[in-house]
Amino acid sequence: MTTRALDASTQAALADFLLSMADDEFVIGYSDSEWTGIAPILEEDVAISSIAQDELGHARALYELLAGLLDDGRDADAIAYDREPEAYRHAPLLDHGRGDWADTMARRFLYDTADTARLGAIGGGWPPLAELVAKIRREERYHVMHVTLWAERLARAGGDARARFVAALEALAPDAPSVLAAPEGEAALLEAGILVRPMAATVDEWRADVARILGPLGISLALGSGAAPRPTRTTASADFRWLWGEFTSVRRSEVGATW
Amino acid sequence: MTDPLALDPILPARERSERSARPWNEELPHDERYQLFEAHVLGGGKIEPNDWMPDEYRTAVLRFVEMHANSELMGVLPEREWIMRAPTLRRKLALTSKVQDEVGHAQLLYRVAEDLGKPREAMFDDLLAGKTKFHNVFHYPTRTWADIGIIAWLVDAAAIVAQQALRDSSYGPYARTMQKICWEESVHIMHGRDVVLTLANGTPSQRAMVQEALDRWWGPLMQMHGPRSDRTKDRDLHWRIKAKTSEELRQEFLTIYVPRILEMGLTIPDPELRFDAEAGEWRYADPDWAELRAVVTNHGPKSEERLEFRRLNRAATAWVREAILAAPEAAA
Amino acid sequence: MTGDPGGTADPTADQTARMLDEGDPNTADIDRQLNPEPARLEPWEVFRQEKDGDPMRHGGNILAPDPELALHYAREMFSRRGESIRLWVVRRADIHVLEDLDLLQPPLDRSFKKPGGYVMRDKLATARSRAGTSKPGARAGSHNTTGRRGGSTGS
Repeated sequence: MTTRALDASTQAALADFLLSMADDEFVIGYSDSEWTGIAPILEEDVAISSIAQDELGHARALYELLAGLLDDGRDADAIAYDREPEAYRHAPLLDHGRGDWADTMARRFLYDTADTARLGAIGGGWPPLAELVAKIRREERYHVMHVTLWAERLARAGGDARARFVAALEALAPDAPSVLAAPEGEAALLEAGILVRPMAATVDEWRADVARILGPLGISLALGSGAAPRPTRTTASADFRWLWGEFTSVRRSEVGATW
Repeated sequence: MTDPLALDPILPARERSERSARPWNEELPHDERYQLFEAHVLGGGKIEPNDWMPDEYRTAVLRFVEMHANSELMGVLPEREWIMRAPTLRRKLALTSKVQDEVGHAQLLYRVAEDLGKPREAMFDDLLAGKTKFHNVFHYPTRTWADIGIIAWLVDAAAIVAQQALRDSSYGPYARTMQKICWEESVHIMHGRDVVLTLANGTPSQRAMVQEALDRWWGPLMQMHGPRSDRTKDRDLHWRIKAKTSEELRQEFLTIYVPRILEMGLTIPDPELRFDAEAGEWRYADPDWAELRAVVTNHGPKSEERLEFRRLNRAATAWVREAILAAPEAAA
Repeated sequence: MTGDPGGTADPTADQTARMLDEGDPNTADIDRQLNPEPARLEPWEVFRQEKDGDPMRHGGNILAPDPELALHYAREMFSRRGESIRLWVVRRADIHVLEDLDLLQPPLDRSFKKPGGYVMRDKLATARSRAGTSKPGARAGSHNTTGRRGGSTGS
């Protein structure tokens, strides 16, 4: 890897940005993995499990980059698992429980479209990230295809299915722009070419993408105001605390052990 | 294909049957056709879904495959509980992937069974109503992370011993499916063995955890293949749906896995277990067959809870299946 | 059962025999007319190519409501470990099956369609003795009777 030396403020901004992205992928991967074994159709069960594994794979790769960047003795697992619930930086969109299939598809739809826009905003300023993003985008394409098929099918089914899906979208919409909240050190990231455009511009692009897919389905969604949203990424809901209790339970039972 | 008049049988039925890859045909009297079918199967021939087959054969294959499919589906649940608790990213990925494979195996096997004439939903109905069964090992609780290692290693190993023998099944779709399944199961065994080995090399409490798990699972493992049975009376052996008796499978399992368990410093909780070199057989304490009977008739420690979990979950996702069947027309 | 390779068999002697015990099987058909079965996911057959240059081989089948999800599910069921490089799905109802396998067993001589049907050893011996030549060495042979290139010339 050819890593250009980063100044301290850029490095701090990058670490913050990597952690947010990694936590997003980690938490949605966990939520989706809850469907493994109980999805509505056996074939779909296998599909949603693959997507969960993809997201967890992205999280792992991002935590590994972060571990290398911080170089503080923690490995990817330590960063992923050995924090208190309040220290996770996932977006509020992902701070809800798994919910039903409509909630899951609505969350996936909003997240996948936002994540696609975010990945598109990452430039070559830090080559290790740019290389990873190129790989992640190849998998993310499949996720968008998958969730778009489901959005179309649920919306066009009418009746209860459509009502559930639309209600889930509307319930999550206020939190959705949080994925694209401007990171703390956005100016430094732009300066270093790690981001090629401000998140405010990325949000606009994402809104257009969402409208392009949902419009033909007769769904219009209010996705925040025109101003760049800045919700905090430091909430930890009761749902997330339950999740945290689960995913740390074995690890906490014997601290420092090898698993 | 349509069968135009011009293609009506030209050769007499008996002569046609001698020449064909499928020696039985519809003009023959039932008994004669049955005998030709049986001779084909006993001679190592394969049967495909489109072939005529006697009801005895169809029913026997269907029951066998359905029970196998049910076991894969129910076998998802004990491990699924730990998908959220896996202690590292790699273990999380491996366990999710392993459980995903079990769902995939259920899919493959239910497809084989469906093509024998019983719809998937009807099989779910019967499973959840307790009319059909699933394997004993999936009626037990998973209490610790070590259970995940023991299940993936030893339960899957005991299963794969049986499944490898099924790759020669007379029913073609089942035999082919078992090839794919065995290939995937071999990964699970590696994952399980790695988990067990890591715990065996770990802290004293990790070592105690894995020994305790082995102690709990050994009984069900020894029961898993079923009591000794009379080879000549086994319908599934007769039709070559399966190839080995329960005792042959258990002996094979012990031969491969006892040394691998012992080399890790674990203790097998059966003081009578030893290899009788003279007889060329493992000796072991008689498994608790009354427990096996109780457990597979859904009186196991987790039987009802897991069936109820499936019932609730199936009801909770019914609207999705309805929606997806409605969607294409609305989209057209 | 044209176009339904997995369909159940037609009424057979077994079923007839069972009918004597269990009553008229036609009642099932009447039930079905009164209560039509709900729509079901339908089977799709999956064909996969394992590596470049291989033929497409049948991999198995899946249930799906439409071609798009069928392709998604084919990918999941038959290539989630990257074991396929190409996939096809085809609706099972669109497959037609040759029912009469006897049509695949030619009853009369077809040896003229196969290389083994041409035996020339004696004729060649006659020709050589007439022409006063001998059997050519391996190097000289460019084609054998199978039409394949001579194996040992390394051309």
